[in-house]
Amino acid sequence: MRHLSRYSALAKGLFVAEGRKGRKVVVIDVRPTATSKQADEFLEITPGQDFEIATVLRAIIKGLPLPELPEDSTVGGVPLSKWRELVSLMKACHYGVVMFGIGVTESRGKDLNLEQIIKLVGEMNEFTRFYAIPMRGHGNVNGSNQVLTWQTGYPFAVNLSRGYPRYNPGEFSVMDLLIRREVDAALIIATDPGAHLPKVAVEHLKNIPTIVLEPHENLTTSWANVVIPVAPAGVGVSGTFYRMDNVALQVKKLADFPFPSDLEVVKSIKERIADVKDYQRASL
Amino acid sequence: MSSHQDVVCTFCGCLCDDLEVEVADNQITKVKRACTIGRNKLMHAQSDLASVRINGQAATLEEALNEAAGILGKAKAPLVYGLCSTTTEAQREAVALTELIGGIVDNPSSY
Repeated sequence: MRHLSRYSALAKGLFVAEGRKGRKVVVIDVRPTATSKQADEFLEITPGQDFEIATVLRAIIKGLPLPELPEDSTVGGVPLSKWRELVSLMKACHYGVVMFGIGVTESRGKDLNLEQIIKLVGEMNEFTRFYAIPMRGHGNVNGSNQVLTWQTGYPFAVNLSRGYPRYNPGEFSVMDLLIRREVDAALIIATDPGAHLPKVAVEHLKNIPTIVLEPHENLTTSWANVVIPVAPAGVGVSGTFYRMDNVALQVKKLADFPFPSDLEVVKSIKERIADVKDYQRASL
Repeated sequence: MSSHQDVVCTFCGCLCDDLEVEVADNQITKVKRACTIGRNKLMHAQSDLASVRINGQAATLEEALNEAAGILGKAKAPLVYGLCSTTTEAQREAVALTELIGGIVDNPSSY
């Protein structure tokens, strides 16, 4: 909630000493929000047109002719002239940042929408400095992408069943695995699928043995087969978290909890399984 | 009573690192400079704690760890999912565990 004041619109920076007055904020959304009220320009678009909008923006950036689109036409519910104005504004700035939310992956096109946005930002660097930051939900979801990429080469949806990492969102991503009922046990660490995932995905989790590592009672601990309480990171245990702009920060321990940390529990489970595997190998 | 300076709020990806938190008798009593959500998260961090359970029955930590190891060791296609509100140290260990059990590891950025 302090994103605007601490990091984006209002923050005073080395080259923007005056803060909000030195910035242009454009919000693109399907409805007015608290953020859009603070913007210099709000472009209210029709839902599900993200791919089309990004494609047209890329064409305007490159100065390509748009023979199919008359000048008075609209793209995603916004006049073409408005998109041309936006591109002029982007090209005129010294340093632009596209901050995109999870909404762009939820509409038709899914990851292809992101590919368009990332290509757009890449192409903008022909003209001026431009950057893209995904808006992150939970505290260290960026850290999990960092660690997975560091350990396996891929940021999420990694299958290690063949002993080497395979990456395929849509096949090895949680929603698809659960809806297709392809997994036969689950270890849930520091998230609440019972609250966040759609009912059909949660139904499959309820049908397989599910283990949850979680400090508080939530909508998953009520039905999980094994509940192991852990001390919450940043309150009961210290460690590293990655901020949404990829800066690593050390979180603190503030109070004692009667529980072990996630790290200790995962390590202990791993050692127990490794011991059994060693024993089985030795007795072959 | 102790006062912690430059505390990092772990609720969202902004990770505001300028909080001040007062702790008395191991209880968080005051949170300064956080947003409403961050303050509530910290103020309620010590209430409604979970308990160790196996199939709804109270169990010891040792029993729960054995049960978890049994389930994951036997599974043909286990899923390790979440990792979004824990430390990178624990995330790294979770990747090692997934490799050992030949599973699939994913986090909420996949949907």
